[in-house]
Amino acid sequence: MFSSNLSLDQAPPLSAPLRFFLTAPLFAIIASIFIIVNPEAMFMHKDLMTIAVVHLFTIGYFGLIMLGALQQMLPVLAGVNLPRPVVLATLSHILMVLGTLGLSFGLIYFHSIIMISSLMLFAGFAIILLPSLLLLLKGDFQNPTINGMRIAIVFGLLTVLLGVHLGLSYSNYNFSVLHQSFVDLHIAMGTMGWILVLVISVAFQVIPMFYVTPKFSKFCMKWPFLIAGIILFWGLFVFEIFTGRVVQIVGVLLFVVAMSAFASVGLKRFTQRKRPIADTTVWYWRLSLGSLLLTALVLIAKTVLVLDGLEYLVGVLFGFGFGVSVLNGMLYKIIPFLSWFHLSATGRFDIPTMRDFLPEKGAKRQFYLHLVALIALLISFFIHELLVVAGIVLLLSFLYLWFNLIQATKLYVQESKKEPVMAGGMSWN
Amino acid sequence: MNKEIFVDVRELPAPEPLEVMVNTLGELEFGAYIKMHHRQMPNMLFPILTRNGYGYFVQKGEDEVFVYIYIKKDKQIKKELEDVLK
Repeated sequence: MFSSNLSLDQAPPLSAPLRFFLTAPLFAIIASIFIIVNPEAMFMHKDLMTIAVVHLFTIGYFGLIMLGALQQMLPVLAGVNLPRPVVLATLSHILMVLGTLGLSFGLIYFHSIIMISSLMLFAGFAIILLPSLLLLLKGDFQNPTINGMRIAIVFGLLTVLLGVHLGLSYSNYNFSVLHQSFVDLHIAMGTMGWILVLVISVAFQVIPMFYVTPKFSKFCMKWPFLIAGIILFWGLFVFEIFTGRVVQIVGVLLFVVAMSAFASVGLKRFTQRKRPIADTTVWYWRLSLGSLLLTALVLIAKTVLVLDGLEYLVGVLFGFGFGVSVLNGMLYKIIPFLSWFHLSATGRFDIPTMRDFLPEKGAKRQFYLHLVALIALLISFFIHELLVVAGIVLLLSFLYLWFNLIQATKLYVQESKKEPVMAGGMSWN
Repeated sequence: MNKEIFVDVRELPAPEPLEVMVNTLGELEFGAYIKMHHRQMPNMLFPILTRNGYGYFVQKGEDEVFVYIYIKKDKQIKKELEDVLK
């Protein structure tokens, strides 16, 4: 028996993570406009417009949501809280917003601002990631989610550092002989090390907790370490310490096995729920994991069968199908919960339910738009002319998502202005 | 022993257990306590309890957690819970 010491307010103020969640869709909206304006560029993976769009999603959307979610998850999953959360969140958020805009517009229009934007992004990430990593390393926590988060944060920081190096190359158009190796490692660390490992680690906790499924097995819990090993192996390949076609195929196949294993077990967990009510977030998870499986298939085709030009499909399936889907699902869980939690923590019991903050009907409609956008993006691979339509649906999908999140926030603001109602004769302190 | 309000939230998806518990807190009176049965540590519940004048004890098992919640000013029930949970 113990009387827990978790008596401090464990959650950061709502404004700290919320600013990240509410700003992120705006970058996806800008990216969608870029796609509509210049669709053909999206099929040339080295085109600067494509690189800008990719970074609007990876930094502006994924990066911001992951930084916001990390601030929120630290107290829930690890029982630790960032010091001065509002100050850190404000600084990081400003740097991330300016850095993302600077990098994406800099790549297309003003190369001179790429370097400063890259440095701002490094600072924006580091302000949240470094103290988070220190807290996670310092604590006595040894659970698979925390281990995975440590690995993901290290890869996140390394990805951004490599990004600063690449930003310098683009800002003065001076590319070293190792440029492509740095690009390949930047992509591997960002996608597999930062995004995939973080999603996997969080899924260990979130899927059983939110959907009442059996836990992941002990073997599954080792995936973050295995992926870290594969990335190191891949690093030796891209810097030509290990060479040869076989090494390349083995490396890709190892990534494919890791992605497929997680996606398959995750999908299976969703068939083992004790209360199988399929809300929109369940569909988002299923779409995300299904897309991850398809990404693995396309990667096999691309590497083993030496099929060129599949980068677009890999990007759409992994970035939008897997990444955006899982984050949208998480936003639909996190925002109503945080709004409700911060109201109830003030001692009020007469507050709206979590469902009231984000009605299922609106979430479901937005999911359908998201699904149509994904299908249209995939068909556009075969019919390039369709990408403009896909871009418009994508834009509508993110506008609708943003509208849903703003509605939830408005209800929170409206409710937070009401006087607390005492319950059970208690006096609130 | 005094009046026990037993709440089993093991099969509820997060964050419903928290919502159920906050609603149940409104029913808690002097001389009574809530015994919550959960499948994991409800970390987000604790600040709500502390902020709003509730005390609690936690019993942790392999795959389950019991949280005993009482009104902090209710010294009698606190002592009884301490004795029982020793």
